[in-house]
Amino acid sequence: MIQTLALLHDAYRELNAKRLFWFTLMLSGLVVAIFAMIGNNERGLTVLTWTLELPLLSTKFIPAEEFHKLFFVNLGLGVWLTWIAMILALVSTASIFPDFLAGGAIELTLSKPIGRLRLFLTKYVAALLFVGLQVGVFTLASFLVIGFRGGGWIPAIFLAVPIVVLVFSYLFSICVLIGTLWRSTIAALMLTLLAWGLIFMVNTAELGMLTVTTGMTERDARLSERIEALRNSITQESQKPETADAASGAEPEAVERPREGGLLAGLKWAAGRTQQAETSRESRLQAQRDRLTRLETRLKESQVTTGKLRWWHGMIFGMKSALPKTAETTSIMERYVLDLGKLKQLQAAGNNEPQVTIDDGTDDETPRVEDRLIGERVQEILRSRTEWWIIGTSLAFECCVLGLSAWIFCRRDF
Amino acid sequence: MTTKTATSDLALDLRGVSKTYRGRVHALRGIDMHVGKGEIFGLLGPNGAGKSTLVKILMTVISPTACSGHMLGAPVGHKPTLGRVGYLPEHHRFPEYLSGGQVLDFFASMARVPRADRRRRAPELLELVGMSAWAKKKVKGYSKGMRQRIGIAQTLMNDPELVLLDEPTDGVDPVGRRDIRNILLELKRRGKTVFINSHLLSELEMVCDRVAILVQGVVASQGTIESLTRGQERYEVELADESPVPAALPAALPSGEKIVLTGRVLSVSTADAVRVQPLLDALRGQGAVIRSVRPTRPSLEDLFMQAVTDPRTGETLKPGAG
Repeated sequence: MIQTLALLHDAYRELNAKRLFWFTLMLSGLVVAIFAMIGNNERGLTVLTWTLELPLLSTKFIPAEEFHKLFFVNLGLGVWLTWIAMILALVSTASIFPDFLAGGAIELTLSKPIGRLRLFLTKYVAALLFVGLQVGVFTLASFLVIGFRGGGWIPAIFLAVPIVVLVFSYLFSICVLIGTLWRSTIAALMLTLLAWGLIFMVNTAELGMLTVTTGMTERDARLSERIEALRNSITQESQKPETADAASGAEPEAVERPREGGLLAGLKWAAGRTQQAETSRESRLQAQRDRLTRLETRLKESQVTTGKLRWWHGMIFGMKSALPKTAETTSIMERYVLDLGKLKQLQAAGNNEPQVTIDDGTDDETPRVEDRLIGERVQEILRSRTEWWIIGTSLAFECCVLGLSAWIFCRRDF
Repeated sequence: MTTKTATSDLALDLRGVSKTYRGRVHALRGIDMHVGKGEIFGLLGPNGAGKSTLVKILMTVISPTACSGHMLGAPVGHKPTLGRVGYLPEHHRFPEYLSGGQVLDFFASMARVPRADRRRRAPELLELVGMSAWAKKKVKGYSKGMRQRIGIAQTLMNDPELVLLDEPTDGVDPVGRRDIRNILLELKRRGKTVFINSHLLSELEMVCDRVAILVQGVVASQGTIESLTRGQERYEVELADESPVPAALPAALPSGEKIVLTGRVLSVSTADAVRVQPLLDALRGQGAVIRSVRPTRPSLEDLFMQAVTDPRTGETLKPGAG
């Protein structure tokens, strides 16, 4: 216990000595201050005592509590904690392992009665505690702001602490591996940022593919429905009695009933009318059959494309499964803080603009699928991915990377 | 039973310690070494002989390729035993954000020294190494000698039974060296075992009870300086400046030892004063004025040079363990 406390205390002293620790804390304070300055009232957005007339942001559309929650999740968590504070934390902690392993420094620590694995893990945890402390301060301040300004006390926002620490730990494990391998702070930092970029790209690619595949699947489904409806229509049309059209009383314009000429003329007229009606139905049926053929061809082509897209999506998804899911881990927070149903209502209330559609524009018979609908489906799919899967697979990656680093550290001669 | 007793008297009992890096570089080739409790032991050797590698193996910084030794009665590599050992590595680097006092506290904590003991010992040791005035200053402002002094204080924080010092006087001025020497002698007086790696042979000669000379990963010689120089004692007869060098000197003593003339000094390879008397009689008989007659033995430097010189070619062995 003495050793663990000494290592934690040392980690604090090390980070404290770096001005970045206090700089990050000050920036966090500034963000919360901005967060506290901004609010909404019945007319729109408020900044301190000023009101900006933005009806869509007024309390009529978004209650104050929801506004502050959204603000916290999207800006506080989504931008500040996930990106800016994360980069600052990486910059602050990237040197921990390279400095620890530097020649002349490591010998002294290793010569003490402490196991290498414990030493390694304590150092790792110490860095995570640093981030936990930073996020803890920010979250507590945000909790108070939402409480006092929005009128809602939401303890769930404290989930941000473990979630952000978790996301940081995924990235820090990469940083530790590189730091252990090459004992270079710059290399550790740069390659971690590069790896983060790659993870982000894979995540974005997967989301993009998921959106396109969902849109295509939806369109295929609608196309199938349309084909089915057309088939039924053709079947019904063909099963109608041949004289149905004639008996319906419809009078073709081309042939006029003779006013004179007696019975023979009348019969001739009736026969001509029946023939004309039959010709008209046949041509209508033919047109429908042609359309059916076109739709079926289109569906077949579309299904092939959708299949290919699904395969590619599966590939990217597989790749993503093996990687840490930084964005999805952060989005877990939304599940607990934001109600999807409420969010949909707010979106619907504020959305009066015509919907953008996915359409290739080459054929007006191609069913249109609203962008909003695809977005909702994608959201549903994303939310159907369980926390266990998101965190579990990410932690599996972290364990592998960290295990490799620990193995190298435990076996290396210094 | 005999072996057990013998082992319990030894602070270090190393057998067959080998280290091969990446399957090619043989840093140590089966070291056998014994260091008794309460003695100051010096390990000498040219650069790359494997001295630091051996100490690092003892301190678990490097894993040995083969080792069946014991340190303080426990197998080498036994982590809890390291709590009874103090270690100062060569070219050590303390965290620059710590002050001298914090360095002592941190590394003592890592050695599981209770807080009360740390608080008590730190001022004592800072006083001992003459760093009390600098205790609260950050290490980054220290000179090399000051860092070395703090390093030595750090090794003693856990009141170790065995102290391993790798080049402790490196970068230290003559006053500091004398202080370190006195600290080592004080440790010996308190019954501690001290193991020193050093290039400064004269320093070691002054304090070491026993030495080992390591050359190319092998112990070339080991023992007390007396035992290592046994059979190499001489008598030196120095003539006064005004005295003529006798022209007809015997080539050897009656007892057979050769007489070697270097400048105005005659050297005879014997430790027996009686055997030298015929030479003195002969010199006086020829009117030579004798300034001094003194028994001498090879210095540690002479022993070191003998060890690192190839007996066949007479050339100094190449650095490195090969």
